[in-house]
Amino acid sequence: MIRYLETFYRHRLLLLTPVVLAVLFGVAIVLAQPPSYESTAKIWFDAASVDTVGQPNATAADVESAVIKELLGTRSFTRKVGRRSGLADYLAQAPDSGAGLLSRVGRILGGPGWSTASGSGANAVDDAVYQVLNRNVKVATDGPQIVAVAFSAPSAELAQATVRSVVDQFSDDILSVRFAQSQTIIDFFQQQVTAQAATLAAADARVADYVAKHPRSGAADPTLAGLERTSDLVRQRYDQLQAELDQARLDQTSQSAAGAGLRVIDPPSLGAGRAGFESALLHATIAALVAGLLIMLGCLLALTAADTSLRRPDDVRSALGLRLVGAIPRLR
Amino acid sequence: MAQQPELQLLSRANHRPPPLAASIGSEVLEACSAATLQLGGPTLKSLGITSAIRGEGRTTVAIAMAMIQRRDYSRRTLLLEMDVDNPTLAGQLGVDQWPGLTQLIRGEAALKDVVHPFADDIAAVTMGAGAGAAPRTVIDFLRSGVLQDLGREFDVLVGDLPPLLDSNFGHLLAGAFERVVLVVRAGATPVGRIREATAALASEPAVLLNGVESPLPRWIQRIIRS
Repeated sequence: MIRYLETFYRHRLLLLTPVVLAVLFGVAIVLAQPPSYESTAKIWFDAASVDTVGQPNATAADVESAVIKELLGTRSFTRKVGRRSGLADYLAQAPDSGAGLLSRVGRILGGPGWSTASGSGANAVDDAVYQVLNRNVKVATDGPQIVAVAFSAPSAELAQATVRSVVDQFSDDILSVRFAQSQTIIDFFQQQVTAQAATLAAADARVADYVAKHPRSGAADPTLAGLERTSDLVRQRYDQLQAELDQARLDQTSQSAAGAGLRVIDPPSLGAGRAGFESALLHATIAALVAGLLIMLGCLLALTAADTSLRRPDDVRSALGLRLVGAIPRLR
Repeated sequence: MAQQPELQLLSRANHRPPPLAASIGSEVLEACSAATLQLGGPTLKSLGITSAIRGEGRTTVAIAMAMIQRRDYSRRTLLLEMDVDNPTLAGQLGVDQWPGLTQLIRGEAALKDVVHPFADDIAAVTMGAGAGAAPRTVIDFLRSGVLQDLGREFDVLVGDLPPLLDSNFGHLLAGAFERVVLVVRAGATPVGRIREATAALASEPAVLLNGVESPLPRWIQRIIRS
């Protein structure tokens, strides 16, 4: 231990240099990053409209935030968001600011992950949109029914438009999914009603046909009574199906009127300052400090291991077998 | 002790204050005093100071050893520069480079001309020649018996020898002295290099370790001790 301490003090300038350089490098990386503005929106979800079947402990916010994340993992969703927000246009036109060494290192150190399209063509832009959205959109629950969606971009307007587009696209997708589901139910009942109407018409026709052929038959005629009972049963079933169809149509109409069961509580904000600058600076400084200290430690171990020089008077006899006649503290 | 004519000349000399000699601290002098005692003290006739490589404090120790012989034992002391490859003693002592040992060996100067006083009754003989003359000078020196002549004029000779590994003549010149002290700079010279340096010496040198002061701040040393 004392040997290491002595080595450190003997070479302290050399050993502290990597630490200082690493910290300076880390700070330079953060300062070299393009400015980043963050926009955040908070969405309130109606617990009644959220299906938590199979997840009894999950809140509406948990379920919906998971859905948003899942959608962000699809190229279809990100493509629509990119077109809707103008992000795709921006990425197609903006100079590539994310391919440089400083940006790459900055991203590793926790800086904003921002890169533009690496090639021309719709696919390259879609890829860039997908990567940027997946890196920079943050989805988090902020209570049992509130989900916060945040996005960082080089301009406040772009950040705001993108968050708005994510929320709108999510709302549209949810609505269309639910509309499709309710339409399926309506279609099903419509088919049933149509089939039942045909059955009812046939039953009614059979009754009419029997009465026409047997004009004297009355209530006591068991065949006529049987045909009428059948007709009544078919009518009951028809009425029941018609009621189901009406309810399904009503549900669809009310769903369309109420929206996707969500409401934007805080609309996407227009970021005023550079987002996460202090945090990135802190992370970079800590990471650089740790890296510098590790380098310093490695150098210290190497220097100590490589040092085979004599240090103390006792070393002269033990290492050389020679007679020591004196020791000078330090020549001045 | 009878005063020799040459030394009377030295006493009268109006020499400049020695720059390096004046700057040698008491810690160095005390360490050299203790070392001198172990090496024979007042009975010592000739002492060569060498090191494995340059920069270990060899010349400073040689000057200090010469000063100790005079201070502790009142002996007539001659500091003899023998670093033929890199003669710097004249500059360090603030004395004239010429004439020196080379001129004395070649018979181009008399003893009284090459002896330069640098402190009270302590004299130095500088190399007096550039590095190019080294091989010839060393051979002539070893053959000429100048060392014996100087030994008769002075009570003790202290030789500032060349470093053993950085010079081709270190071992040869070290053999001309009764005792040899190897100055080792603590924390600088690898043990392997020291072994390599001492392997070819005719007799085992005594070691004077230089720079043993810990680089740790005093407060850390106090914590370690406690």
